Amino acid sequence: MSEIVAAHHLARFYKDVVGLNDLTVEIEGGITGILGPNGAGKSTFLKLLVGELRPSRGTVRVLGLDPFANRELYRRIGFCPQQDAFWGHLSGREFVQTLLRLSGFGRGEARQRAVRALERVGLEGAMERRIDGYSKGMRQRTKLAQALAHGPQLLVADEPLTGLDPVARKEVQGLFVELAAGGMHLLVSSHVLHEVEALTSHVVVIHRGRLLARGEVGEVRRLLSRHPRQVRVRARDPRRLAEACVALEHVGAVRLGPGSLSIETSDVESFFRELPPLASRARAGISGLESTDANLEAVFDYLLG
Amino acid sequence: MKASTHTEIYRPFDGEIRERALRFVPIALSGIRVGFKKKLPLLLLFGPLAITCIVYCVMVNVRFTLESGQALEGQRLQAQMMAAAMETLLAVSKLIVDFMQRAQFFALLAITWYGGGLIAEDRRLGAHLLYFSRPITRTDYVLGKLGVCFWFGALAVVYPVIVINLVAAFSSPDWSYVTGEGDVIWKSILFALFWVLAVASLVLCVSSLVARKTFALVSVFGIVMLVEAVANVAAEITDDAHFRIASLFTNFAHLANYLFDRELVQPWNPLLSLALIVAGIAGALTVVWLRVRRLEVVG
Repeated sequence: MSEIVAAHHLARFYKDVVGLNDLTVEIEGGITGILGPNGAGKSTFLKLLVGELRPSRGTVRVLGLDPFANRELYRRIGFCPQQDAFWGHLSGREFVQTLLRLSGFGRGEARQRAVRALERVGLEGAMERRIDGYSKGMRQRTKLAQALAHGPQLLVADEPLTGLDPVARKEVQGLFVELAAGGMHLLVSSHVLHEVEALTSHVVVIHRGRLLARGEVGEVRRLLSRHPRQVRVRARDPRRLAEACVALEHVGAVRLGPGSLSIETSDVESFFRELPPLASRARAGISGLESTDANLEAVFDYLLG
Repeated sequence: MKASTHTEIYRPFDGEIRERALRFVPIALSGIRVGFKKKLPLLLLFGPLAITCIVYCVMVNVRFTLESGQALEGQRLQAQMMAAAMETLLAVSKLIVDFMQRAQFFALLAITWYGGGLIAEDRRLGAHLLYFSRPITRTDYVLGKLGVCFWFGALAVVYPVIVINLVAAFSSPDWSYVTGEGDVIWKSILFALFWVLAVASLVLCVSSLVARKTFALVSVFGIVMLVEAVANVAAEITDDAHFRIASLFTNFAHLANYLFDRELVQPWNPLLSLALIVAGIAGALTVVWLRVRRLEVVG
């Protein structure tokens, strides 16, 4: 599959603040997750891709075109920004229709497409209501609708799942998968790894404005498993469980707490596999299990050393 | 997502999108539409103005009626009363200038109310991200916003002036107003448009510099009132009318006197007033342009 984004030594500075620094990456078609903690530079990267920002250094090409102030490209991409950028007095339909008019559609076509896009994101019952009265999730869907309505080749969505309830999140994830199956390319940013995992195996990880990792989610996971992982286990008898866990080869440290124990393991997959029979033999009575450093922030910490 | 109603998953747009010459029009129209959503400000801002406009229309009509001697016999008493009143009635061109000077303040109010938040709120809400991911340019954006200001400013001063001119034209015997004072029509419309442009530039300039509509409202009135006060107080204290050259209202009044052949009150050349206003508009629009270019780095 050919590349849809090609960035070469891309940098963007906000006076003294580095938004993005020396990013060289090529992104192929399909769905790609842009990952990174808050303030990593994801939004800056996406804004550079959709031509909202001019690069301070380097070059970027999207669908083969230089994106800044490129009206030809704007017809081919849809952008769903992170901010709630609405005119509250308008209804959802009027909002999407207005933006479609800016894309060059005539009144009738704009209305038709606005209605269709809002129906697709599940707002058919609320599209004539004022946006002022929308919930956070409905606003997110409206933003998505305006990004989809003109039938772009590439959809760039900045944190599109934020604020959605679990059901809506699943629906939107399903929509993204359907869109990709239909031939649309998607760049979806998030700071939550599992949200992106549900969508795609392709990720670009950015931290402090730099490219931290790029590739399959599995590879990022494997990077994580090379480092000791913290696992907290709640048990009826944590002391007995701790005694049993110490015997495991990959367990480096065990710390006892009230009703729980924290375990540091160098092979978390083996640990999860071996824990159930171990707990059963020790009669420890496990009531809860959580990986305390399985989030993306922890991955970055490890990658940064 | 809504599989029950839409079997179509994704249909890439393969048609030809019309290339619009006036790409700023949808921006202006959406701003105007939003302005009309709230009825109370419309009533408060344009209600008194509509009444004033009607009063001036009646005055113009009465003047021409009396001039043409069309008062009926049965209305002789009324006609006599009106004739007495006519002594105090100004010539039509003066009436129009008088109306414009009253409407100027309403236009300032209207443009500030409807235009104050146009850029400030876009930036605060991040709406410029949506605009600029569409095939429009920064110029289209500024023109669209200027269009909103123009519409509401025109509603306050230009359209009423047109209406009064129309009433004068239709009331005048044998179209004497059009044939005799035709230049008043285009001069008054041009003058009203010039006022709207000046105020719209100032309001958009302030809007591009502040973070909220409220700040823009306060700033515009603060700037205008402060400059007026300082100019007039300085002129009074020093007994030198030249200080009034800083006042927007005075410059426009001076220009109106020159344009409509009235007595010039201020000591400076009216063309200097024109030059100052044009320079002010150019400066304000330059600030708007620079700020809109910098919209990319905000948010």
